[in-house]
Amino acid sequence: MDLEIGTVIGKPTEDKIQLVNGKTYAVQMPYDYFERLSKVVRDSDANVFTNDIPVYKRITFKAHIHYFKKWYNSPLKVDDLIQQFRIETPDEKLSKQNKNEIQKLNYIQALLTDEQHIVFIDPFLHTINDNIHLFHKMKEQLIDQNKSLLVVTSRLEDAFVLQSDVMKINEDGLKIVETSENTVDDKEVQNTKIKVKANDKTIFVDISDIEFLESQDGKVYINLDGEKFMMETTLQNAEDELSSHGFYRCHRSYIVNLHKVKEIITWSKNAYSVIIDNHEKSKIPLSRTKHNEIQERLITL
Amino acid sequence: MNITRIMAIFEKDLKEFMKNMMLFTSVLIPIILAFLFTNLGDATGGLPAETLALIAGVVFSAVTFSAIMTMIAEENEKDTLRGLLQSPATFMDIIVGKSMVIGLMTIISLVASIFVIGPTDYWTGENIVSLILLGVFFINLGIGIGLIVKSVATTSVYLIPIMFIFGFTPYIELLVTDPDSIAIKIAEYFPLYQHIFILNGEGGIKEFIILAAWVAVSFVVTLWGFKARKSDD
Repeated sequence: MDLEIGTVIGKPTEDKIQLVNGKTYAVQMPYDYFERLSKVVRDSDANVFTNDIPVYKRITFKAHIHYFKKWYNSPLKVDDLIQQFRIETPDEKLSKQNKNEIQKLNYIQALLTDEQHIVFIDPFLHTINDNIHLFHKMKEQLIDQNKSLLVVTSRLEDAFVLQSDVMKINEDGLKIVETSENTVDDKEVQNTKIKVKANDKTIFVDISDIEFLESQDGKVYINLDGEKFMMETTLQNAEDELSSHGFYRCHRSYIVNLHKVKEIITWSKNAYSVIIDNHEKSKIPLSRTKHNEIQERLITL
Repeated sequence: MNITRIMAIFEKDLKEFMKNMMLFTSVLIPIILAFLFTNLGDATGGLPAETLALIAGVVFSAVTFSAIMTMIAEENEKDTLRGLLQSPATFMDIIVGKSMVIGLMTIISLVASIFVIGPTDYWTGENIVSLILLGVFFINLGIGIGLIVKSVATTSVYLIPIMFIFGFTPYIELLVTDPDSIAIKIAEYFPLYQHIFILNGEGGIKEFIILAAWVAVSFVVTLWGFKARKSDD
């Protein structure tokens, strides 16, 4: 199945994503495109899963799975699914289940459906880590079933939670995410502070407050306390300047403040995340090659 | 048509029906009414055909019509069919599965209420045919309107008029006392009156033709509902 990017961004473009059975895709795009994307996908032979999950509140979790199984005529066993996805109270009505449990219903439906292409929209937005692990298990099973999986996220970090190769859609069309080592701009780094831009203001930020830096579209953004500021430099320059402050380049497009790292999570063979100790518990992608080195750096910090 | 899908919907909706207090109590209403009516019955026994027809009218409007309309409207409102509908054929499976649940509940409610009253000569072949035609009429009406309304709350706008016009038709005789009145003449062409005539043993080919015509009208309503939904999507 071909996903025409032109219909998603509303501008003519030749770009398209070819969804091939047995393959997985991670795409970051602005939130505004989600509605159009789900409409395009719903009109084809794909099933879209969003965070707004429609459920029959009066029947039990088990009855709900049973209903999907029968509807799609799937050979999978209800009890196996309950066990695999660790449904805690399968005999409790859906109206009594919390949203983390209900989220699992999406994963189960994706496995049961007879449609060939599965699309998840922002599945990692408000998710607990246990569910991300279950999501990765579901991903492996979808590949075994020879279905394709497309994960669309609004935040770039979330796209890397699925896998290491990520695409990006914006108003210019589709592209593969790579770092941008651009021209050297003016840089101004003081010993403890760094200069950043927020709209028309210039703000001086304590380096130790920075949680992580990311590069997007050739611009570097610093993240602290859930806020994003643009910095007029390149990621390479930022790395040179900040590495002495305990910063580490954990991914082509990311630099993380090792002092703010809470934990490292292994989702699958090629998907790792560094979890930041902040309110959002931001998940920063970690390259496979850096997986060992960052651990050493964290120990010797 | 896909039998496994129809059965999937049937099982799911049966569970939902039993746990939905609003729908479940509607099945009990005619039965309670039947108990009340037996106490009203005079010493000569048997209740008049109008009262029996009224029970049937309550069953068909409060159970058949109301429940199918509510169930379809709820699916619309909660958008629960999203992701399950792949083709118009699967939509038919859903309607058939739901109708089976409603059909079952209608039969339970009607048979139980009639059993409570215990009239003689009720289950004649002719009368059963008229009951089936009435049931089809009300279920089609419910499907058609259920497809048009967007929420469960809106269903009550349709429920009351349909209930009074088609479910309680014989009550017009309480409002209009003159038997030659034009209103009565018109009402006598309504479906429930055909059922009364047939129940009284006065039914001929004419009554069945009128009933069949009403069923045909109800199919038009259903088709209209399908069309409205299609253009919505």
